[in-house]
Amino acid sequence: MPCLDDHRKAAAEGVETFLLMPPFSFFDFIETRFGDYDSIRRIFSLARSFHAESLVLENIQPCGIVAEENEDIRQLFPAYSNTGLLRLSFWKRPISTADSISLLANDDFVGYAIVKRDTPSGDASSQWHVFEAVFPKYDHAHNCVPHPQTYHLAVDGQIFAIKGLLYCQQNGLNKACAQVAIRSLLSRILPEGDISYRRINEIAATIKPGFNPQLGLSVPQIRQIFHEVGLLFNDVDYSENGGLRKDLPYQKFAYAGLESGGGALVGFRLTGRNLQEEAKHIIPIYGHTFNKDTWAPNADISYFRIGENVGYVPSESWTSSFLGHDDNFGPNFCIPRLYIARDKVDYVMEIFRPGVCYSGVLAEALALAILYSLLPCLTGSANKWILRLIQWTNKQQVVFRAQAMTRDEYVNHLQALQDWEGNKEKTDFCTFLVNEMPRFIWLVEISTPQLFPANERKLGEIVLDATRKLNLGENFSHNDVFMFARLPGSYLFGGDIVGDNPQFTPVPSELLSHTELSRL
Amino acid sequence: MEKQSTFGNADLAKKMAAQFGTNQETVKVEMRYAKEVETFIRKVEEAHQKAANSKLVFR
Repeated sequence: MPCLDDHRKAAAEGVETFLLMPPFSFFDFIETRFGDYDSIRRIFSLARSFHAESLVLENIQPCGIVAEENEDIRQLFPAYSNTGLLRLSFWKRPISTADSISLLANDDFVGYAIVKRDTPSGDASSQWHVFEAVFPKYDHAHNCVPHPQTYHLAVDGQIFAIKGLLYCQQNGLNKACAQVAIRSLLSRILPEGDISYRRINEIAATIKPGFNPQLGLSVPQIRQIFHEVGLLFNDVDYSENGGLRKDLPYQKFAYAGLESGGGALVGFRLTGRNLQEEAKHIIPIYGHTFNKDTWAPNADISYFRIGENVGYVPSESWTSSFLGHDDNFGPNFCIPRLYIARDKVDYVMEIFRPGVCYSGVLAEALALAILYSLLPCLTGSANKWILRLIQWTNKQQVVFRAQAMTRDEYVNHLQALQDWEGNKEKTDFCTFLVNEMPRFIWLVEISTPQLFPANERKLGEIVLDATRKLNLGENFSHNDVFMFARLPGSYLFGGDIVGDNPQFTPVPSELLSHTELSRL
Repeated sequence: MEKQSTFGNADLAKKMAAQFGTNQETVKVEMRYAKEVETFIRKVEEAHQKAANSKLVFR
């Protein structure tokens, strides 16, 4: 499948280089070259934060999906002209001439932006916007971005690679916040590495022929785009049923989506002095902070109840902020998890990793039912960690963390695990297991509020088949998706149901105590 | 007692036990909270189905 990145590899018509050490001022540079744009200021602020020492500015020709966008805008605004297209790349190494670009390497690459000036109807209508930008996550260990994408960019004819998640901004002509949020997330997941606004808008038009793309997208249009590209998702519209905000909080679905690598869309209402009417805005969420000393898990607010009398401590309790873009302001913001008030959030979409058929929120609920049922039957165990886990389960102080994985990712993880005493799983066990597993699984990690944040370790996992849809018919059953439970010293594989009671077959494990959490 | 169906993959259990042995007798489990989990999952699914008719527009 061809990669949709011609626009990143466009030939440069002119190259300028700038050394960024003082007294060079980004404020002066932005005001002179662009004017006053929050998103462009944010790009330069990120470059400063990453200690960029030089900027390469190239004039480029529209090609690929940029040229396609220009054609589409011209259909809407016949006098339209693309009056500026710049590729800005930031570098850790100081270079003062274009000749020195040949000395640059991927390790020097801080981030880039392609900024575009649209003139729909005469000079007075001209506006710059960030067509796209990529900056990596901060090195800080508490910033987590599962499954970042690698983007390739040409600079003066050389190709460089950078990991991150694409930021895109609306222009109010052919794309609004919904289109750019969708492109951000899909650029990471789709095999072609991107999606054009033309395709997004063409799919949206199948739901509402003749719609105006500058007015954004409805939820049915957003859903259709994901259907068309073959991705499954779970979503909730809170505006029609406010009670769901408490029972199915948006944070749970957002976190499940970002942990599994699909990401999430969060739609909310904006209010403010400058807004004449209530506006609805949607942003992509793709990462999170991990704050091991946060107080929140000790409070009842972090406890998630499945029913009246059963619940657990979700792993997102240690997340203070989601990482996401806000196209109005720029890329890579920390958005405090509890800052967007529940009553302001109208919509959430948890996007599943390709190949996964049901929500990570449901995987955690299933794991809870299995673990809380299994453990009372293991009271005779000689393993002290099983006995401790039983105690914590009785108090429902168990942490669950759902991760969508391929079978190879899981088996590599299992082979790499070491318990606290240094024991490892037998290689032939792992080799045998991989041949028996479905292509995608939910790995629901089991830990405790003491072990999870401090050591980033776990006591085992419930492994579920992620490739089967749950049977939600009249004969509701989740029996088919259970693969096995791994607990200290033992695997428990499912078996026949006799009476109403499933029978589990224990198979010994070399891992006798806690092990590392998975990291993707 | 009559065998009704299976929970998970009984064949996999047999294969793994045959290859790597078992360290305890079969564990018979009473599935607790099954009703609560079913209710929760149905609530999530119902909300997802209803979102298909959402009137929300984001711009």
